[in-house]
Amino acid sequence: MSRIIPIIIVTCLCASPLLAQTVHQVDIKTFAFVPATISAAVGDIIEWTNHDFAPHTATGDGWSTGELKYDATGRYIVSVAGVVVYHCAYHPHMTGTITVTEAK
Amino acid sequence: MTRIKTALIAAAALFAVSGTAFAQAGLNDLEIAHAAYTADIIDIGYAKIALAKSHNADIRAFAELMIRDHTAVNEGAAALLAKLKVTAQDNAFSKALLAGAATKTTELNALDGAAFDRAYAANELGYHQTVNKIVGETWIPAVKNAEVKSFLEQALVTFKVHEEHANHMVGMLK
Repeated sequence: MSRIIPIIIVTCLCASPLLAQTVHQVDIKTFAFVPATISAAVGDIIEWTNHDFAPHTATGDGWSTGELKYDATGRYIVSVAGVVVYHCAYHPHMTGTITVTEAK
Repeated sequence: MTRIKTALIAAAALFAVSGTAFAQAGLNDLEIAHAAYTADIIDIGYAKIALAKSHNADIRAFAELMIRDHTAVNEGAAALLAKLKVTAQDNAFSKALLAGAATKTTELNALDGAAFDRAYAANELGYHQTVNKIVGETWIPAVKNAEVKSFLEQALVTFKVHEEHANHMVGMLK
C-alpha cells in the first residue's frame, strides 16, 4: 500500500494543467492598470486587484472580470495568442494591453 | 446663446457651493469627515434626479457613475471611521452644503429635457471643481490623522476624474 501512494501523487501533479500556468498580477490604483502593458502565454492567468475605493472592471472583447470593489480580485485566463486590449467598463479612459504568445 | 446660458448655469452652480466655502476652514478631522460624507450624499442626490428626469444616455451613464463611485467612497469612509472607533461630527459647513443643495435641487427639478441636461452637467462641473479645491487645498493639508489624510487623497483622485468627465460632458452638450 505504501508503494502506491507516491505513484498516485506524481501522476496527479504531472496531469495538472495548473502547473504550466503563470499568474500575472495587475494592480488597479488611482484609476490606472499597473502595469498597463504585460506579456503572457496562452493558458496564463491575469489577476487584477482593485486598490481604489471606486469600483472598476477589466473588460475585453467578450469577457469581463465583473465589478471589482475595493480590495477585490478578478481573474481572466488568456486563451488565444495576439494582442488583447481591455478597459474599465465604468471608466473607459482606463485601458490595458496583454500581449499573448503561444503556450510555453 | 447656449454657450452663455451654460456659462451662467456653471457660475450659478459654483456660487451655490462657494457661498458656503467661508465656513469650511478650521474644521477638525471628524468634521471634515462629516462634510466629505455630506458632499458625497449631495452628489448622489443630484444623480438620482438626473436618472429620474433625463433621457440622455451620456447624462444617465454619468449619473450612474456618480452613484456607484460616491457610494463606494462613503463605504470606505464608514469603514475607516469604524476602524478608528470614531464618529463623524456634524458641523456648520455640512449644514451649509445641505442648504445649498436644497436650492440647487429645486432649480434642477424645475427644468426638463435639454435644459435640464445642460444644467445638471454644469452643476456637476461646478460642484466638483469647488469641492475638489476645498479637499485638495484646505482639508488634506489640515487633517491630522494620517489614515484620514490618505483616505481624502484617494477620494480626491476619484473626484478629479469626475471633474474631467463632467467637463467633457458640458462640452458635448453645448
